[in-house]
Amino acid sequence: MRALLGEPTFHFALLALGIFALHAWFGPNADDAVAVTPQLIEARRAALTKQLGKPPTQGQLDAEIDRYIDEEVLRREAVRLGLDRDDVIVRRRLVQKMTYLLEEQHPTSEPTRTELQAWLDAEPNRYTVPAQFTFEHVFFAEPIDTAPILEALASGASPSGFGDAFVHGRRVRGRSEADVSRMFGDAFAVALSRAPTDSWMGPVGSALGTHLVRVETYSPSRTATLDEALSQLTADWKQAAIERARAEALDSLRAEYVVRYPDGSP
Amino acid sequence: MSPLVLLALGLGCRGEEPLPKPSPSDTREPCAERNPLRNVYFGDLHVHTGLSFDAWVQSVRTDPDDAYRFAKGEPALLPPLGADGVGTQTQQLERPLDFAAVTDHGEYLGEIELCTTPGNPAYDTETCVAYRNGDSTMIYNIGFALTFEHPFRLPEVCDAADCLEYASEVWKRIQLTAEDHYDRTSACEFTTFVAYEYTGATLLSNFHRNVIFRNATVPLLPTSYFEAPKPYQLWEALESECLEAPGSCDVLAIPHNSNWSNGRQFATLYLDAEGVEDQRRRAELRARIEPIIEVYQHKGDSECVNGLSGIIGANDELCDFEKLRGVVEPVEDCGDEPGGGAMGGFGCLSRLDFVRGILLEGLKEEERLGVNPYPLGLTASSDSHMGTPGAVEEYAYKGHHGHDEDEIEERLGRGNLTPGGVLFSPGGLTAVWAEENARDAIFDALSRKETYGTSGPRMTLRFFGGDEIDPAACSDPEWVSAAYTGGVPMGGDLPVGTASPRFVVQAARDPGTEAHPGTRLQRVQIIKGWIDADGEAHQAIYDAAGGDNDATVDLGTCEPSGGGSETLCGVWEDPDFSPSERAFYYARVVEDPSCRWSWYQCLSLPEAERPDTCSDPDVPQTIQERAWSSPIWTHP
Repeated sequence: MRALLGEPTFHFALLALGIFALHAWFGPNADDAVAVTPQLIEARRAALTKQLGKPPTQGQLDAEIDRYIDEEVLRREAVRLGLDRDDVIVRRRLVQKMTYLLEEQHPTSEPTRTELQAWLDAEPNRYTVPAQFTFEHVFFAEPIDTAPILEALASGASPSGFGDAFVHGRRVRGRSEADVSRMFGDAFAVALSRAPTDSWMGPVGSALGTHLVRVETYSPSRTATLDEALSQLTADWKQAAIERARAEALDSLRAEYVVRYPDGSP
Repeated sequence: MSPLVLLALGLGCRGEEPLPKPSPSDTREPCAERNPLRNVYFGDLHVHTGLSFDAWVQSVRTDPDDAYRFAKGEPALLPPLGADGVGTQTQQLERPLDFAAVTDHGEYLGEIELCTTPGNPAYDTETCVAYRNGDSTMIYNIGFALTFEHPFRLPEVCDAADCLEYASEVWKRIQLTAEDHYDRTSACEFTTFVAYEYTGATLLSNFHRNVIFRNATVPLLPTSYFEAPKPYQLWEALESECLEAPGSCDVLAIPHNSNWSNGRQFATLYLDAEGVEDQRRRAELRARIEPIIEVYQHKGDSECVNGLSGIIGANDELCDFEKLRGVVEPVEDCGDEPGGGAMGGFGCLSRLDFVRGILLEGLKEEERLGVNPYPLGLTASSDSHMGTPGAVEEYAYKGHHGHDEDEIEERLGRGNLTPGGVLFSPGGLTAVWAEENARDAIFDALSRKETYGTSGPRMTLRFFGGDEIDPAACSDPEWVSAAYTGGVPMGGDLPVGTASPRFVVQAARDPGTEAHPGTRLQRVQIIKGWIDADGEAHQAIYDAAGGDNDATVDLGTCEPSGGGSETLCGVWEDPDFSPSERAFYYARVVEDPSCRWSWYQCLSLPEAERPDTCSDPDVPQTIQERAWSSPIWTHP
């Protein structure tokens, strides 16, 4: 939504609304000549230059200004006759622009850490860190008696002397149970979740072969900390603030209007 | 003074403030884990929802929000629609994806919004009424407009309202939805990309591309075929509106369905270019914007075909895989002249319709210009038109394209134009090797082509080359670390002066799930393409590990028996390597045969009720699923 602030059309709309408001304030007797300003002429010259690929001739520029005057006269006449009132496109655009204005009426400040923590505490299930494993393993592509190797590993031998190359490497760090399932198969992930930490175990079968495994850490699913989810929390908080600003502004506007339903009730 | 006027006055001044600074590349928490040896992540970079003109009209009502939810494991509602206008069939992935990009057609985004949302100014136009009613002439006209050399938007609709303005609103919705579903926490569970499809089809030859943006900084509107009817105009627009625009905009485009282009997708590179210098610039621009190509998807295989002119070498039997054209009757060879009509099933077939021929053409151009316009890495995707990214399992195919394919009998039909019947397939997946699951890491992997495409299963494939590759890599559990320092991974270039490159390829089957275990691997191959001293293009195929085996499938139950391996690893050296030739090498891992989706669905019908395609020898009962790595190139 904030991207709209960067849009020239949006700026123009704001400016137009401002002018419109000024016009309303000073009343209909203010100077309402169709003004051809130096800025307008320069803007049209620039636009034409881009279109034509070279600067326009005086004739082309005059025609362009003339078109602008016609357009402006027609626009004003249309507004005078109230043609803008029942037009779906105009109505939609006005509603849209007003909505943006309401949202920007309370420009959202950067939330404080306290505010974000409160937000996180209110909706912990939106910001979860899945259960994660870190483990190392020795892989055997072919069936083999792993008992002596397990014994060697258990008594402190380095794993690097054993096993075959494995396509996801020897050490798997901080991957979720779903990720482990996908790399090794469901049964392996289940076995891992039941394994003791910090001791070699096995053989554990996977969809790809046989493994001896040492789970280094297993962290169960939990709510993220403030720092782990800071950007996400900030974005969600701001979005909610924008929506709140709009709703509040609309409420106070509606309070100024009388609404009547078909049965006559207010 | 009313508070409203005050409000307008107060905010009116802000219109003169300078434009806000662009946001940084990607605002997020660093991932908790970053693997310098890279993890494999699976995703789908080609997905349509009800925002696409050809999907909505097929009763597809999923939107980008539904599609991202589906990719993350939630069910989607598919046609046929119930009385409440909501889909009545459900589909759900057994395993979520790691990343996805919704790529609705950039053409008609505004028109479809106008025609399908009551109260919009064009809603009651004859065009919109006919579109909503599924009037076949109207649908045909809408699609056909994208084949004109001078295309124009639907006159009646875009006279009634500003179609581009509506398109920009839909485009914003697409962006916001991608932002909503991107996991910015340090858990790094799921990545989205803002994206769209450019849908040009001049002369009914396919020019389609998926345009993928690195982050949330994107152009105000997607450049579509209407603004850029020639492909180079798309590249130039992406260059000026994104790559060269202030801020962090970055983009790549993925061409697809070259198999439907009569050679035209890769024959129009130099359209309107004048002189060699201009051609070189064009080649550089294309190589910069299009680093990868989709080798496989719903509408068939684009890897290779046998029997076309211009490539010397023995037949590659495994090319006979998921072909749409030339299956029933032979199709004329385009030779060196592109044709037209492929998307309607007409016209010639070209070696430039297939990745192998395209890669070879790139080498020839490099010889001539000093620039390879087609140094393409490989990906695959679904091209789902139901908002179902990653729904590529053969055993769970629910059709591709909405209500014309929501029953088995329809899916097994002969088909003609898309939606297309029994020769089509569920499509594939893109795999990337990246340090973490976040936008920059995955986009970088796509840019450097450390990617492979699969025909659906999630097999793992690693491929490295270089002088320093250890001949005993397969028995070294730490070989990858050494290969990153002493060689290049898939998608890389071997340095000039490489004397005798060695390649190591390692693969693991898709573990599958408890309910649907993966199929074992039959073989891993290296495919070499090169240009000889006379400028002739060659191909050769080698087995690097595995080979023929006794694997079979029980056609009564689809149960596999016997056969291949859970993992394969091989180190291979090119027996005919010549340091003076330009060449590329890519790896192809092939599974044992398994049942094709069509045969699963034939089996689900009583024998007497099976359509004739169930006994048609042109419709295979089994397939060999596979993955294709990005190539590694050598340069003299």
